Amino acid sequence: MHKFKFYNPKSLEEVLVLLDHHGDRAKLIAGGTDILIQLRNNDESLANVQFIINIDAVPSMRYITEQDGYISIGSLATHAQIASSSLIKEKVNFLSEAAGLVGSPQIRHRGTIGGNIVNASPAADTVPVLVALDAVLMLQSLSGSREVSINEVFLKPYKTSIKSNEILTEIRFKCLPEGSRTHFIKVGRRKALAIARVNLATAIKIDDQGIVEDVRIAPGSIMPTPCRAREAEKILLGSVLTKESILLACQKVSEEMIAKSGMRASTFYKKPVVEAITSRILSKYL
Amino acid sequence: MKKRGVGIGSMYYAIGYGFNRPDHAAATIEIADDGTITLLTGCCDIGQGSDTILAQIAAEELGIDYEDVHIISADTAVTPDSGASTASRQTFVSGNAVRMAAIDLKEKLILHAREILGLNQGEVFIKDKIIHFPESSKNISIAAVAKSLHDKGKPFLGYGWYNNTTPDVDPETNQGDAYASYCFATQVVEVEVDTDTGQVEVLKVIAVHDVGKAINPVTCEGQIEGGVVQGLGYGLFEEVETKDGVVRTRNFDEFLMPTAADVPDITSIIVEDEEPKGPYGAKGVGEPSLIPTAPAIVNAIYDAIGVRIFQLPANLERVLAAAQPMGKKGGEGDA
Repeated sequence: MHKFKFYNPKSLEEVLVLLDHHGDRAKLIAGGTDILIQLRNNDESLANVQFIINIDAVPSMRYITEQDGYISIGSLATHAQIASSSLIKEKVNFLSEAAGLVGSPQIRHRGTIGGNIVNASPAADTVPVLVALDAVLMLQSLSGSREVSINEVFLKPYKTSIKSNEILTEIRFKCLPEGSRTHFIKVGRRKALAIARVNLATAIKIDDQGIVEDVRIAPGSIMPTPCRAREAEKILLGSVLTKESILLACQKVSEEMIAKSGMRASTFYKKPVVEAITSRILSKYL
Repeated sequence: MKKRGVGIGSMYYAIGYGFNRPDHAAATIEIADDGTITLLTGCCDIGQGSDTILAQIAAEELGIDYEDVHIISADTAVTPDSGASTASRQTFVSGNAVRMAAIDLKEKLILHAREILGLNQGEVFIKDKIIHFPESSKNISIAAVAKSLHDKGKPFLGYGWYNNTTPDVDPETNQGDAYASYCFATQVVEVEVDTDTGQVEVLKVIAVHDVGKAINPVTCEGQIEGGVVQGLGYGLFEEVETKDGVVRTRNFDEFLMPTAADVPDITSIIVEDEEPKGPYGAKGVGEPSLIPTAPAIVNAIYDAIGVRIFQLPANLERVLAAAQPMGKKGGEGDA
């Protein structure tokens, strides 16, 4: 197996110094649910890594808080913690649903939301929800901090724009408009320990007149990097939901998938399925 | 749309190697001077519970408590060959060998009990670790007889060897009795098919198995339930992909087996049509438990959507293709 030096820093400052010193020769580890597997498989993404920095013991990065209409989640918050958070259930239930469908109980207790993002798997379960929420990622390095939108952080599968001297410290998003309803759906090969074949996060606010006031449709596992299905959203926004508009929106979702992913061996499966589950979710709002 | 269907799968399955292939097992039992026994068997308990039922058989035959049996199994340094834990054969073959070893030891105990009590003939039975001679109203504990065997240097060992090797079939007509015994089973499965995603959920399985005699009904049910889950994985999940002869499915992240969350409600019904050649009428249940499940599942899928799945596993892509009339037919794989 890959040989490396293992650091166990006790503060964020220590982590930043180590990252600054070792750069891309270092890799952060938190829950380890992806990295340990990559290490065992001698994954080429770790070929240059000589230093593993364990951030599991870094204090005060596991919080879930709400302030001024924004929710902030520390990057070390675990999936189990998020799935069971009453704040998350009340304000953004689809994030609770998605976190609760990650892997298995063991993985949800170890794995972190920060890890789910930085691993940049196209099939990550929490990412479509964060995309729907237009979440902002707080990155920190020795030289300062910056914010980047989750819509811009993914460059390609398993590759982000986070620099080698930076650490993701927090995920922040604005609460949905009052009265929004959210859904998350995951199609996997089995009920647990399954990688999503297709997943989908939606949030819709319909006003008193039945007009769609806010709509977010974020599919996962069907594109190299996740994004909202803006063309589909445009069809629904500002008008009353009908069976016809839903049908049209579903077609837009699959068109966007093919535009971004091209025709693949899996398209014959994913095209009808993403249309069907989009229709199934949107019809709940009728 | 979600559609429900019910399907049935039935099977019969032979116990042992059959076709004149060598199929035998040995066992020895030593009784200590306190009346407890050490049972040696080559039978390997790979989780099916053979240690439990072999100890039960020895205790039952000798009239002693299950707790008084110390079993050493599948240790090639000390145990006799009992063949492999395959072909659903160990209850039948090793079970008979253990029973024969217990009978051999019991005869020695009774013979010496007669010597101690001065009884040359008459009826005898063992109950609750006591050897009774009802005609003379005399009795003696097994422990006392065992102690005496040790003190006087007489044999305190029982030995059994059971041969399940059957004659071969006629080489020209292929007719004959290839196996010693057969198990029978039927399973009924209810599924729910999601015609939009190809997901199949198994809701309920009723598994009815003729095992001859359930030596231990609880472990027998455990084997049936475990077999159903294995059969469910075979029917819906498990697949090995190869490319140019090289296996590409190399780990359990891709070779999927059912998780606890995928296990349906399983009702096991044990049928006991005793097999005269089996120990106490027992046959076997290991492999029979998983054989009818996948056929019952694909029959249930047919009942739900009206299309037959001819290639296992009945995975998302194959079921969706079958469920969507305009879709691609016939089990295309997916990268």
